[in-house]
Amino acid sequence: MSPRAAWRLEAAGFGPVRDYAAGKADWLAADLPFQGTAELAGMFTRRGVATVREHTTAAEALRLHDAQGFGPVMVVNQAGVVMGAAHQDQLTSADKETEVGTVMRFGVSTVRPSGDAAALVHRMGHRGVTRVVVTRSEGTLVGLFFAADMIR
Amino acid sequence: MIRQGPAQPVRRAGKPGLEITIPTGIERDELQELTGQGAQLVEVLPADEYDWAHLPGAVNLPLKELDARASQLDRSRPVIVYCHDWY
Repeated sequence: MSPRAAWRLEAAGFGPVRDYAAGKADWLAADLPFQGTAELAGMFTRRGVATVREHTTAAEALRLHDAQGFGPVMVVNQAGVVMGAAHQDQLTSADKETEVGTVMRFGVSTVRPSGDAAALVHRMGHRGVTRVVVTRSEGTLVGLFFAADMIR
Repeated sequence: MIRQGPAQPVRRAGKPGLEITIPTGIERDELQELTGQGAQLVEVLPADEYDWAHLPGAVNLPLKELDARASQLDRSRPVIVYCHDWY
């Protein structure tokens, strides 16, 4: 639709006219601010979640986990891209000096901050999931979405 | 990221007086830069979709109404159009 609009405005003498072809979906998935009535997952996502690198020790990750009061601790790379998640049971059972990268869970399911929050809670309920990791389209961490935060 | 086109509009000259400007693509970073410099953002989706969510500062000119309402835009400033795109 936007290419047609761009051409029409060019033809009408406006210029320069640029087409943001990736559109609103791209903008919202990048966790950027918006205006409107939508209630998106990003709005209810817990930010500032504890993060570690793969070479962080299990003891340090567990300390961060306990300080945060909820888990998991997210394992990110130098670009902030989520590489895995370290859960309390994995950290407590590991040797203190074990690197998180060797005990973390790799197959972390993620959702975008642009998802409809109520629909996400519904899907989570069906799957018996209480929290999901929220990432931007490029895989960088936004935070953790807890269904309970919406239900309250 | 894949660029949608050259950074600046391309002028294709035909017969004298029939020169046209081809609209070119823009990505998120450049959009933020250009709107910071005064570019106008236009969402061309229907009003209900605009009301649901739109980029900060965007105006709503649905495609069907574009010709009739384009006069609302400032001809002296660049224009950036967008829709939703379910990629």
